[in-house]
Amino acid sequence: MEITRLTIKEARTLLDSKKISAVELTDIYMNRIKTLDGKVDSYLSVCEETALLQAAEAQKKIDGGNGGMLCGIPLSIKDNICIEGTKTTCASKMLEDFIPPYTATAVNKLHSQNAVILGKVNLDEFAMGGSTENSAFKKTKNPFDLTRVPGGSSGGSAASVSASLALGSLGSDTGGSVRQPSAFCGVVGMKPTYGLVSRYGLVAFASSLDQIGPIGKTVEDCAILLDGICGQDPRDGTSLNYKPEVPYAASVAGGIKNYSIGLPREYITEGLNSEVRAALYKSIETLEKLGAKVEEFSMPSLKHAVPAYYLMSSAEASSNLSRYDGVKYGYRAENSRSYNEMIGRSRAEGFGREVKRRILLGTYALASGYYDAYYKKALKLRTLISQGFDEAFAKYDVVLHPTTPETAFKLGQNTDDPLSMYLADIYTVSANIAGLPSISLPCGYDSNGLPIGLSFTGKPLGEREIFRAAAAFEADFAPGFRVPVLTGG
Amino acid sequence: MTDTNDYIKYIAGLAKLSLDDEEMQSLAEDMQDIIGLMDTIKDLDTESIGATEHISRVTNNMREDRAGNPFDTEKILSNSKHAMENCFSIPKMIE
Repeated sequence: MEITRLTIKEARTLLDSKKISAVELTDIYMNRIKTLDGKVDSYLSVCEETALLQAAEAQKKIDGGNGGMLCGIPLSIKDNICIEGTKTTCASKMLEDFIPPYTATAVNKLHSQNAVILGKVNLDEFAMGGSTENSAFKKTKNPFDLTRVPGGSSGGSAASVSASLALGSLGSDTGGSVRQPSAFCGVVGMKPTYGLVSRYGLVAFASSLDQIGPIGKTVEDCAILLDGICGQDPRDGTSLNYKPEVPYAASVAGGIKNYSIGLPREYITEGLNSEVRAALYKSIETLEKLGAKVEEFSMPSLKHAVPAYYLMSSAEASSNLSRYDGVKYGYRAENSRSYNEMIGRSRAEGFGREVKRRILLGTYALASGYYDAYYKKALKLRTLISQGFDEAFAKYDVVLHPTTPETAFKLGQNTDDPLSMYLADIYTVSANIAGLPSISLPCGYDSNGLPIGLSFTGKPLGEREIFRAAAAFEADFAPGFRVPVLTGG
Repeated sequence: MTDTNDYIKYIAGLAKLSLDDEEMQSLAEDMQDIIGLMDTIKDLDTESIGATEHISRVTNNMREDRAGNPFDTEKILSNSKHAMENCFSIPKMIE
């Protein structure tokens, strides 16, 4: 068994055929975390004791012949997804000591399928950022190059899967936070259709955009994880009454012969790095070789997606984060002389710089006199972008695009340049704006050996189409798939 | 710049962020660039376009109004260092 290339699907076979026990598998990952995570810094907390108990329980199920697809599979969870009794910090000083009194529905579903939760992984504070450098606690490194960022905000999730410190992970994606780090770390990450996975227990950033999404080594692993966490939840009024007739994992095969694929012309911009561009066009050749028809189309509204996204998400964030007032939970500034002073100081001392920027931008966009010019205009652009996609999907099965304009950048390179960070979200935010499913998978490596991501975006509830397209591409790309080399001790 | 600084100060007040002068100045500088990017959509003609506040494909998706198990009070209070007699304590409100 080559652990760095092990997939959930293969682990399932090993567990079911008793070639390895669930406890042995969990032990392997725990030992890797102990020896290697000091280099990657992906975990904020490790749940060794409960993980081993969960593994023992999973083994009983396997022995009884009652183990499902995720039974005994060791996973990591982004630290903005609540697990009762386990610290959930959102990588913020504000929630440094917060222990949730309840568990997120997505994690409850994993529990009920006897998955093993190894621990909670790092993120940009409150999921705001694209490098995981905005964490209040540690900087996660890219397993392909430890001097570079893993992307973000689910950087801990993507790095833990890439470095084989977990077999899979749950992240959250508000504007690309699952897909961008997956691209940077050379793994597969997907954002489901808005409402397919319950947001109950996911700490709110921008409620109309947030979705929990899976990260794995393969497209099929992501489909297996999505099967495990999707479904309507009475605790989330926006969750959809939809369950696929056939599990997603069973529909990844089938190929893409006669698939019609659209590439938005507006995405081929000057900002697109030449090596990423070359990988995109090479990928198009592969897709055509596999029988798909790829053509460019125009969707002018995409040019405005980044400002529209930042206005909407920051406006929602400024409202959602108003709950952090130091009263019931979270950081409270000491020695305040009045209630108002306590709130103002708790928020100023508890939030990091990027979170403050977003709160200020959101408050600005919603302020009297600016609401129509900014926030309402962004909502109108949301209509235009959604309509643009509706028109595209009348013609195409899936939309193809790069995941990021560049590969992973150096730690500290963009820390003082929030604008560059925002503009780099150009290819991912529109799927959140329109509530669409989107998947990123590796399609090549640049001259520094850094992974390049390719994305397929689908129509609402079009998970099957994007999984199928991604799996077909992946099968062709598989011989060239690389894993990072990490040596421990 | 001073006008912008004053306005950011006003916004920080609305957002209940008690920033010191140095942080205020530095965040105001960041905000100049960020608002510059947001300004690129200001003049677009969207007169005839409706606003989409939420992309959710469900409406009035209410669960049944049935009594469930409430959270354990002790567990809820345990996240505050300032709980007393089953309440959260705060500094005096009336000044």
